[in-house]
Amino acid sequence: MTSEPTDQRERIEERATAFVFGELERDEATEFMKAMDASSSLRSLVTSIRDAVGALQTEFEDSTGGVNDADREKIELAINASQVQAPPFVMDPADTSSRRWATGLAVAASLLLACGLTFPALNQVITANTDTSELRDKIREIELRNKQLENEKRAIEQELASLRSSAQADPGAENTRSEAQSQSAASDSNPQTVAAPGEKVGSEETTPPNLPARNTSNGNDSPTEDTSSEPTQPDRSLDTQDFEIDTDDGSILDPDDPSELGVDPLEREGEGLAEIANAGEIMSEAELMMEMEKGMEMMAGDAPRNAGFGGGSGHGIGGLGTTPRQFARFAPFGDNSFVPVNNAPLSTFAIDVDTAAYNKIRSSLSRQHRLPNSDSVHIEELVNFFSYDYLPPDDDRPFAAAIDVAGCPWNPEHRLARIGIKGKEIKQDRPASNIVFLLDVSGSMNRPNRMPLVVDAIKMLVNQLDEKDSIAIVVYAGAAGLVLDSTTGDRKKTIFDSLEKLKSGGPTDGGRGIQLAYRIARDSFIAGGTNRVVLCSDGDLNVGMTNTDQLIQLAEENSQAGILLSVLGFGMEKNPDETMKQIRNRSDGDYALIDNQDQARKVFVEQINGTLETIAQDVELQVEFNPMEVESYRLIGYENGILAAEDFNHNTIGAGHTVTAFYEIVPKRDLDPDTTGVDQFLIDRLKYQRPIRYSEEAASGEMLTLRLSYKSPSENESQLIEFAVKDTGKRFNLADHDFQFAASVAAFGMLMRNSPHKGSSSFDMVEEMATSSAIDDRSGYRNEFLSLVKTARALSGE
Amino acid sequence: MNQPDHQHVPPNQPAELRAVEAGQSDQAWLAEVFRENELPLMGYATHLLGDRDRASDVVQDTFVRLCKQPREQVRDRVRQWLFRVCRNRALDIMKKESRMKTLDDAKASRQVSRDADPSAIAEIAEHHSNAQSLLEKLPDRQREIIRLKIHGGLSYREISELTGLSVGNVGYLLSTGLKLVRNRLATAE
Repeated sequence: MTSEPTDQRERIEERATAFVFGELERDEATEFMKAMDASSSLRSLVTSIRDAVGALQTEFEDSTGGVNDADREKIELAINASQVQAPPFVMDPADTSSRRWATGLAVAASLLLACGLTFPALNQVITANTDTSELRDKIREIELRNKQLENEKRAIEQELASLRSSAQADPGAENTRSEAQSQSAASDSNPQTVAAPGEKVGSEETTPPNLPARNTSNGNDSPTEDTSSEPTQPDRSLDTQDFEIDTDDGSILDPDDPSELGVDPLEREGEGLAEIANAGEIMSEAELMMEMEKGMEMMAGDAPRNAGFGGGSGHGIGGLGTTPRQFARFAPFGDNSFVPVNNAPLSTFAIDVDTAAYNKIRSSLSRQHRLPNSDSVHIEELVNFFSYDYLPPDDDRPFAAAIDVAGCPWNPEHRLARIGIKGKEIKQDRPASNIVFLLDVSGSMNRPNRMPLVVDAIKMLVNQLDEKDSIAIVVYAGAAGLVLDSTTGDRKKTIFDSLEKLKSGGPTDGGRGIQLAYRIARDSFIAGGTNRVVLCSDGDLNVGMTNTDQLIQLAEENSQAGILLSVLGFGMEKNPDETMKQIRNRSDGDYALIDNQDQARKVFVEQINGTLETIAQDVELQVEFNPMEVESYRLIGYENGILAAEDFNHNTIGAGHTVTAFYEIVPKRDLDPDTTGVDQFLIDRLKYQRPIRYSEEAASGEMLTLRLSYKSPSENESQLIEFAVKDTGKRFNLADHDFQFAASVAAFGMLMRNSPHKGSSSFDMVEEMATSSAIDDRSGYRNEFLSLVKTARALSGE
Repeated sequence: MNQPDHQHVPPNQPAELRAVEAGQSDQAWLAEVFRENELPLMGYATHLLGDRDRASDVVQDTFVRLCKQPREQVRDRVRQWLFRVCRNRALDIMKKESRMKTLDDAKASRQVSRDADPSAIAEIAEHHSNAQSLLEKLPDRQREIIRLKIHGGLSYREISELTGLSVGNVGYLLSTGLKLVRNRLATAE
């Protein structure tokens, strides 16, 4: 940048700004683009303007709150009054869920309320030109405190859950069992009475729960020490605590007094409930009921599967202690807790994972320079964002599994099991592809079933590309612009980054756009390959030609030169119009109407290789843990795992599909196999249950078995594949690079969530793990992850 | 705090939402217009009034008016209509409270800071943790335009009609305003 702010320089900047906003006349825009082609400084000017606009846009969006509740009601009324008989008005989802959640614990509620009151107030002051940095710090402080409270709440809930599950299986600590059972019995019959034992225990507490003290102590992640007035082992983490409680025979395993085991957790539970009472909030009956429902859900997550032992539906543990994501993307959720194998030998996770959370976190860290909301951190989405090189099946089966067990880096006592599933790759001798996307980014595309679908589908497509392919993106709206010049298919980060920057807005005018697209397609023409311009629009094929004949003619001419046109209509209800039909008839091009993600993926992938091969459908997945090897386990991530039946049973898995999940495993200590697990107490007393005995296979030394049931696309019969794995005692740093890298991502996720299970994870540890495993990073993503880790460490002040 | 992510909607969105998408009924249309414009309008009104409660009131009033408006009169330019009504309402309130700041001040457009010298910019950048707060150095009107363009998504012409500035002036103010942010971003990297 020179120090001479000449008028000319300013005029260029003005033009560039106008170009970015699509405000240039068509001719001017073309001229400007030519100038851009010639000048790299002009290109970087345009990029920097786009970045500034993006940064401001994000900040504007993030710092603006909606209207007051009272005003919202008035607006709703007015809308409803505007016409009789229409669908109900949709409430702002985030609003509803956060309010509902806030009733969860009165303590949290009161604090959230406080934030709700102070936050807007602070915001308004900020816009009113006062000293901002100080206020911002305050906001951050409040948010932090809020987050800590949430974690606190989560921890209590987890203890509740694990206590309940252990109460049903733990005959060793009679004390616990009878009390807990009476409690759960009470909860079954009459929710309101449940507060009673809590109050009782709470009143026995000598020190009433002290909020600030708990907050500050929350950082070390062991609520046990702060909340219990009983003498406890100083170094016990929550995890080992669970482990000990869940043991069948506490007296053998645990050096501690078993009665302490019995009392301690209950007391903590009592305290949790006592806090509700102590907070001085009057919970309505309905709120209490809701709380209880949550509790019952948690129990339901455990008990029935336990009783069935092997007959489980496969619907998993994922739902344990969590809130399904039904209202908002950022609905709060708790981390999965450790589950004793004796109670719940089966677990499951989704075979198809969304990866949007990673983008959220990335933009929060790298663009907004702040830590993401912990409820936006879905660890499974982070882990599955990256691609891993699992070997595909070498036989006819549709899936192979890459299961491995190694030391758990954040807890030396635990093992970490990685389950990678790799779908069959269908090697088609696909010709190299040269694809130019021509995207309509006019305002009307800014709908959930339009632009986001386009972006998703392009990502999906890019994932199928490699270095012999190239892709470019041209947008049109007002003026045409080149978003991504022709880029080879292995530079996925560059491509995805350009997609992130797409913004909708402005009137549609694609005349120059389509010519630009064809020009780029010609420039990067691949002889003998697939050369295609893919026009994505919501139907206004007002591509700037004065009439559609011109478009058809252009398509026809280019098809003779070997460049085909595909027209994809998004969110259109109408039948394809005449233009689309003509494009197909006269230019060998094609068209498709797309209204949902499945269609989008299918059609987009067809653009390169004809078909997206379905390798299996109705895939169900189940992990069974061997109780002779595993004490308890915890699924990392997948908290939103209460899968709707249709999601679960009617999935379609395409070629090359990959999914990864981690289980943190508490191994069984060495015990006499004849006495473990088989519970003499139960065998003697139970009237309705047959005693549980281990099968011979339990002595096989296998740690777990993955079962996949699926249907081949052409068949109706379900088939089953099993993969079993033994723990060879491998150390973490001897695991393969993919294992190490994915584990570092999981640890990073736990840190971002401030998970109670993060153990000894630290940003340094994450960085070390990721650095050693981010080798040969053609995609650019693993290295980018490393820089995110650094940013996060700086932001969290570590 | 976090706004729900409008970019990403899970594929199994509720039926109500889909009805809204389809743009079928008047009511669904209104609901969608509200959903799309609530935050930009709130941001704008808060900027004008400096007070979230009054902003909420104005935005509410604006939408209630929209509901009573004959649809065909506004359908094609609803965004512009909303911002205009919102702005007028906000100005009314400010007039009443005789707190007219520089907004109607014809001189405002000439008060643009042309002193974008690098050292001053670096200094500003140091003291501002985000892009938005950088803008606070700018005159009200320039900030208003930036907000209308970037958060409101209005075109230069629409902004010009709304504020009474010429289209060229709008472009100039945007360009110089963004420069401040660009330089900050450049120094941050």
